[in-house]
Amino acid sequence: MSPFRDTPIKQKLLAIMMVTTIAALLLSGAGIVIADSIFFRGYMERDLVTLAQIIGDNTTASLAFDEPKSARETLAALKARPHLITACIYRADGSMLARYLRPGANSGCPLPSAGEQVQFTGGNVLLSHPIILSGRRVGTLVLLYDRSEVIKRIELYGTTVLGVLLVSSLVVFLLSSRLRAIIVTPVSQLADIAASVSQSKDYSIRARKISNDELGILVDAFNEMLAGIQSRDNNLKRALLEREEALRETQDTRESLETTLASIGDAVISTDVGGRVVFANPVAHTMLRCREIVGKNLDEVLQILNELTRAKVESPVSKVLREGAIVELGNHTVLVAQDGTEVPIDDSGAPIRGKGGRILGTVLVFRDVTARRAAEATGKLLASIVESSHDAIVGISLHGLITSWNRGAEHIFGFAAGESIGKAASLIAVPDRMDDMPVILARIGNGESIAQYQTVRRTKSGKIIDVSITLSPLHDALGRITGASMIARDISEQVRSVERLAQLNADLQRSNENLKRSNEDLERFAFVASHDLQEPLRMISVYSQLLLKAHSGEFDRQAQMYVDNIVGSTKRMRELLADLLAYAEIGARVDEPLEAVDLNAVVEKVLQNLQASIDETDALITVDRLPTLCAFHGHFIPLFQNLIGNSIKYRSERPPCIDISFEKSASQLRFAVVDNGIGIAPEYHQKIFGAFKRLHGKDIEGTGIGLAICQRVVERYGGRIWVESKAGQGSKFIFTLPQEMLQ
Amino acid sequence: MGFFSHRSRRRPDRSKFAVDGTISLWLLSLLCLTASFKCQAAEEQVSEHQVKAAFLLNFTKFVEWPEAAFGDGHSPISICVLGEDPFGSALDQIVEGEVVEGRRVVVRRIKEPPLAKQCQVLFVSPVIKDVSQILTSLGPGVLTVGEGSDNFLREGGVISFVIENRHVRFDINQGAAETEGLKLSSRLLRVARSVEK
Repeated sequence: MSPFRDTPIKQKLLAIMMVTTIAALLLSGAGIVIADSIFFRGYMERDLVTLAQIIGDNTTASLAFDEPKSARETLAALKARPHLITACIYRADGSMLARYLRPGANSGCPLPSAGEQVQFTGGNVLLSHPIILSGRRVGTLVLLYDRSEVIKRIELYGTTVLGVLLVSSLVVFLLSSRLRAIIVTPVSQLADIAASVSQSKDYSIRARKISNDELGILVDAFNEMLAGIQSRDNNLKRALLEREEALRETQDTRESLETTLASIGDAVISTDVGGRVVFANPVAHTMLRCREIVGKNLDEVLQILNELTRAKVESPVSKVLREGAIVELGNHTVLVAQDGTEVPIDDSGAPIRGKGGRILGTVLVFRDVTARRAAEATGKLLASIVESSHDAIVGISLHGLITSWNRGAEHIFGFAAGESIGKAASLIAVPDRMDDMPVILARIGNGESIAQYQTVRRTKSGKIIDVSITLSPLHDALGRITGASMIARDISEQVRSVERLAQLNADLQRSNENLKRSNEDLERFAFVASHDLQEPLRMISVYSQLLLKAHSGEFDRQAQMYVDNIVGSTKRMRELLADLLAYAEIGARVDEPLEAVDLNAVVEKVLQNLQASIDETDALITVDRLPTLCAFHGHFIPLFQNLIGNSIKYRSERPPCIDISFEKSASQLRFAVVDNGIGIAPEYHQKIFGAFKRLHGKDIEGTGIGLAICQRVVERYGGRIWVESKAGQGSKFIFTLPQEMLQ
Repeated sequence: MGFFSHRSRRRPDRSKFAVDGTISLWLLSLLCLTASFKCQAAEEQVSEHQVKAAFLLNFTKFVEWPEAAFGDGHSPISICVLGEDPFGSALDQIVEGEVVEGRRVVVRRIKEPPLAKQCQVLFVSPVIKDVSQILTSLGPGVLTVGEGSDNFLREGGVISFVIENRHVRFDINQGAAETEGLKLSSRLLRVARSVEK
């Protein structure tokens, strides 16, 4: 029925009338048809029973004397009844005596029943009538009657009812379309007005009263209601205006409060009783390093720790709510901001009370005390510095009174702090030089500092001591000069030692000159020795070889061995001398002019020198583009040759891989020779640069002077050389040279 | 048609009731219904005389006797057999316990023509010679039943059995009946083979 609910009243009324009419007509039509069929059935039953009695009586003799012909004749009279389909007469034993069949009908003879019976079946009536003769049943008459008569009647009635129904419906439809206007017109007028009121919100519209029935009452009530709404609407508008006014005032107050809160230096956060933040001023946002505070739970954004124990401090909100009074956080509290930074804070919280003292929330005020802390710390630091200083640090007011006295002062001057503070600064002045203090204080008062000057002061015991004094003005927080700080150092000892030092210096100068001379002598000796020793050595070598060539056949094996040893040792001696000479030469030639040395050419030359061993070991050598230096040409071949030669010499199982790199930094040139050799254990990193220090004894040949030469070359130019290595992991020899050498 | 329900009806098997026309079957049934004949003898051959015995009884149901034919209101209807009795016990069995129009029915076997009011139905055996004489000697109110020829009716008999197509039938002499003061039912007349006026 729900679609019906939404149809207009006009159609509903029509539908109601139509349905009512049709239902009434249908019911009365059906009543008539049913009643008639029931009455007609009774009538038919009586008629049939009478007929059966007559026929039965007329056929008793036929039965008694078993005479079918006469029975058939009797039955033939039934032709006059067109609706009788068949009539049969049965004997008492159930066999048939005679029968009648309506012409054209095709039906069997129904079975007889025990007694008198009328059966209405489908379209037929079946009558079974016992035939009695002298109190004995002699047979049964069965009649089958066609009820098409009844059905025809019903059809006739049905058609009539249907016709009446159609005509009535039409009449009702025509009538109702006029009649329903009586109801529908006022209702739709009301509906239109209600719609226009709800659309325009104009409550001054009134509906027109058409009739004095219920609809009239409805119109009156509607108008009354509109009047009510109109007056309430007016009241509401007025109230709304008042409320807006009040709201604006509240807003203004609130804005001015917020401006105030925004401009104060402390962070202010207020919460409701649940701890949810309802307001936070910009300082709070900045301190918490959090953009969105309002709406969050305070405990989420505000974490406070005890600075010393790192324990979480109870939320001030819950403390305020519990105690209902203003609370302060203890000392040493730090706020952990959202980004994890910690800020020491001073914090207090207070309940916000509404009317009647009910707690509506809390307000929390806290400030960053980093600066104060820093100031305190600085103060303490300064105090402890002052206190621990061995110099006397003394505060003097502009009036010349001692205001502070540190332990150094106690130590130097012998007065305790209690003895000196409050006394005149002249306490420690030497009696005959009392007059300098007022002059000094006048200069300080003008903002002048008096840099270190030497003077004398008097100790408690009356001893006159040499002091170095520095005076500078003391400022208060506003920058005004309030006094002077005097730093005094006991330099009596120093004064004495200066003289001693001068003596020592003179001695040192002398011995230094001696040393330099002997060193030069030594170098010259080494140069001469190594140079001059070459010649006799060469002679030994030459003659040994001549001996071998000329007389080798005459030597027995032992003699042969001796001579071989002489040759070998000579050769070794020569190498040693050559290295020694090279080493000594590095220190020499200080007066010669420098030349441009292309290190690329140097390395090229070195690689040529080492070609044999490179080929032999299958070494791979990579070289960066190297700079051209302003130096002595002779120094760099030994340097590179020793480093590269060592890398090949002290190779591991693998073929040597050697990389020579160069990089330039702001102050120096940095070279590195990296290999994959056997490496050097860290404890030898220093030793290997010493002359004749060899790690590997005789299994690897060498003079033990190569790295000493390298070091001497590098240091000769003001550079440094060192090694970075571990045993078995290759070595990296690094040396630096000053930037100025670059050509 | 919603007001009426269809009900299926089983059609009777007609062949079950088909009659083959032999005397024996239908006669047996006739005997069963007309007399208090205990049908235990159903399998016995029904004889022509048994049928006739039943007819004798049935005649009493279609005949109206004058008051004078009975001794009083309670007198029985006597079926008398004159001469040789062809029915044997059949007639007695059929008649036993029968009441017609408030009167018992009894069988009497007589040698001499009956006296007045003695017999209401008189079956004259065919072996009796002087039928004419006997009939005339009878008083009024006796339904005389003979057998066989037309002579019986011509000589004043009322009903005469005849055999037609192996069926027992009868002819009626309505004039004789009127003479006897008997009123024969039109239904009886209609089933007779022929009726003489």
